[in-house]
Amino acid sequence: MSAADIVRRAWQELPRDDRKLLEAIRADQWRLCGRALGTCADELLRSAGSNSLPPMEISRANDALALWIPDLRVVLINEAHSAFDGLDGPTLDYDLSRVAWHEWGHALSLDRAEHDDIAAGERYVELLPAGLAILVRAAGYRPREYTHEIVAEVYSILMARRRLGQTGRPPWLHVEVYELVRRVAGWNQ
Amino acid sequence: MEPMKLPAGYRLPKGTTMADVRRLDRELLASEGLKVDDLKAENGRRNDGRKSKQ
Repeated sequence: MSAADIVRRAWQELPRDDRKLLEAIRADQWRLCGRALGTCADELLRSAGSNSLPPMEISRANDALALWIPDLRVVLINEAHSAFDGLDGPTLDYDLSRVAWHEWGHALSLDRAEHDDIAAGERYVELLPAGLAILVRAAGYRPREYTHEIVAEVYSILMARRRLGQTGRPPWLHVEVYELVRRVAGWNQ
Repeated sequence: MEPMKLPAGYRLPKGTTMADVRRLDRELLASEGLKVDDLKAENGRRNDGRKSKQ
């Protein structure tokens, strides 16, 4: 399956209500870029008449496997990122799906998280399983981005879990974090 | 004019790979008894881990 097919299937796997929610907030478009996403995003923004991204943001985004660009309402995926290099078919399928689900979770969180949700980011990190907390803390996100990262990452894992036929709150996920994802991302599986 | 909203990205910490992410996913899902053989956690690469040509 091509990268485009994988991402399309990941979209189709989303619960119908989630797709509707993403369509309602105009977050149902994606593009495979195949190159550094900061540069790609900046070019797209400028061609749409927006200001250029700050150089530091371009640099940060260039490292990303995928990006949600709120001002353009589009998810960008760098399918040529070295993280995807040389993967066999099933693993590429898993990784690209996981990353796409993460970005759709981002889109929901950036539009729907409340001020109090964002302010409580540090507390939500503390409630995560240790391995997830390390990923969020060590990836260089700002504290005010923590809540968005948590919603996106947990949403993505919930989708991977749903693919395995399991729904509801996982026993390893704190009820407060699960309720955050339900409230912000509309997760009702 | 509204201030620009910055992009939100999926980035990995330095020294972390998607194999680490899959390993964590597998641990979490296996902890609740899910069969996660499909998450080819540690390896998942063609050619015994050698990179493919760009």
